[in-house]
Amino acid sequence: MRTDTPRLLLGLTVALLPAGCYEEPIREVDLVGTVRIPTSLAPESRDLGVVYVGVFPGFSDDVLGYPYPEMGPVVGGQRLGDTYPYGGTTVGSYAYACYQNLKCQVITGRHADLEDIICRFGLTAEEGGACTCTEGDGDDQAIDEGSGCLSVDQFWDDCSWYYGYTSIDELNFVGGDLLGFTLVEDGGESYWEAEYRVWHVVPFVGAVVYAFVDNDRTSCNPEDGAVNRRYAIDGGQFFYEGTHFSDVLNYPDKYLGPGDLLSSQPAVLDQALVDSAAQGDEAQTERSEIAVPPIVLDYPR
Amino acid sequence: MSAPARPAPRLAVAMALVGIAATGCDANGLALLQNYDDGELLPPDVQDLDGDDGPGLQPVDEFEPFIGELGPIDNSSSDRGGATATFTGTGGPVCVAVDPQTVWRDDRDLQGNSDPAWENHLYDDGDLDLVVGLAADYTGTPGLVMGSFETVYVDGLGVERRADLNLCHQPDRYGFAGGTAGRATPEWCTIDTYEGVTYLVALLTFSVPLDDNRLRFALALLEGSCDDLGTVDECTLRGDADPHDGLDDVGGDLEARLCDPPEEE
Repeated sequence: MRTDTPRLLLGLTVALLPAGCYEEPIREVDLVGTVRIPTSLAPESRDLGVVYVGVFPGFSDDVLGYPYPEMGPVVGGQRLGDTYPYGGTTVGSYAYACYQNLKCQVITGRHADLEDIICRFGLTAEEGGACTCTEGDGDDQAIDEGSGCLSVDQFWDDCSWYYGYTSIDELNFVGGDLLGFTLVEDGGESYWEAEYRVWHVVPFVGAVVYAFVDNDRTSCNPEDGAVNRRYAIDGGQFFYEGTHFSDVLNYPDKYLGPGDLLSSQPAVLDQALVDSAAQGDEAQTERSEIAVPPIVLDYPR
Repeated sequence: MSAPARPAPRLAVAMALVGIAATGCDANGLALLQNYDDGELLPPDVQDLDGDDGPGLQPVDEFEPFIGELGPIDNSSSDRGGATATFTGTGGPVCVAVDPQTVWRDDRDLQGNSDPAWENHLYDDGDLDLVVGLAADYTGTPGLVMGSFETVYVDGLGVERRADLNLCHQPDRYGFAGGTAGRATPEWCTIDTYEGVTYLVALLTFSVPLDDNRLRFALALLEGSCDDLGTVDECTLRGDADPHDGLDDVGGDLEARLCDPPEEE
């Protein structure tokens, strides 16, 4: 009996062969590195705002009188021009911590548990109450028994109701394993250090990686983001959960204010760094990436 | 043994006849195009409003809008329709405002349906997008080809980036520049001008009323800030309504009825 099976197998093999040979010449790479914030400028990492990391065509520390990326033309009534970033990312992002009075305040990767948020923001069980916690930093703090603090159980009950979660682990803004910063020592100085990854950037030689931390939370737009999830059963009230403005990297100056910290010496993608981009393994399971030197946010705005 | 005889394709024949008959009832889809009129497809209408009868700068506290009318646009083409006008900078703020036509009643209403609420189709109104900039930055040719103020900015590393030099910053939902209003809704902005420098106003036609593919609009170039106009709405710039839209049974000019409602008897 005649069969076409060998021919089919041959055709299939030929069809599959090119897939293993194909190399897509993608120019984009990931930039990976760390940002460092001196503890002398930020004693507690939980107070740190969102850290914005951007890749820009250039940099100057004298045009505006403080470190700032290169800008394009100033158009019309704008105060400053677009910085035309090539890419960027953040360390932490705004999270809705179940209560409207915490909107635009709580940031992912800053709090180990709900008690830490209660103490950080002095959440009270009743309006007009007083919440006090034991002395200490971050994780070491505890609610003073008998003070008017919101209880952890009540906090979780409210979050559970709002999000419909059944485990605290589902909350994206608390968790010891989610903390973004670690304490490091370098050259006799201590820093809060966090890792970042800027996705898919064309690595132009000479581009700079500049970062700043928005400690006063002005980069959060309270009138944007997800609509409250319990809208239908929450008395019909409607509000947004708050999220980042979408032009923070294009116009950083709009969001830089007192208490914010800038990088006075951004990292520069020189020829050696650009050439260092690994091309990934043969199976293409790893992206090409460039390891960027640490960026120190040491310049108070 | 031969195969059984196939039944006569009566059903197929019947369906074909129904299909052929239905084509006679089909509406003419061309009427929905914004560049089809009187049996022919028309090129986009591009107008240069400058001239003795064109819009000129007027005091913000006492002005008469310029009333214009634009023709068809071709949504399938990259050639846009619209109008341009220029003015000379005063050294101070200049308010530019435009109100595209609201179609109060279309042709179908005039053919007998008398429920104005039901027949106020939101999507048959006109829509103009307003951009203003230095005349030197404009990429179009007045009266021939509509352009924009978009250009290329070459950054410090030699990378070409898109830059929009439109000075008319209308906030979008998030408060960022680049917003435009929807159909029948006025657009306006205040720009700071340099004295003696020529500026260009471009009205880009986004949509023309479907009833006649003619878009009336009211345009005002005012010395001063638009803040001095107070709230800008349908009644700020009068005259964009099509005189043919009014219905006698409700008193004619519907824009006038909206803005100057008759007193209750």
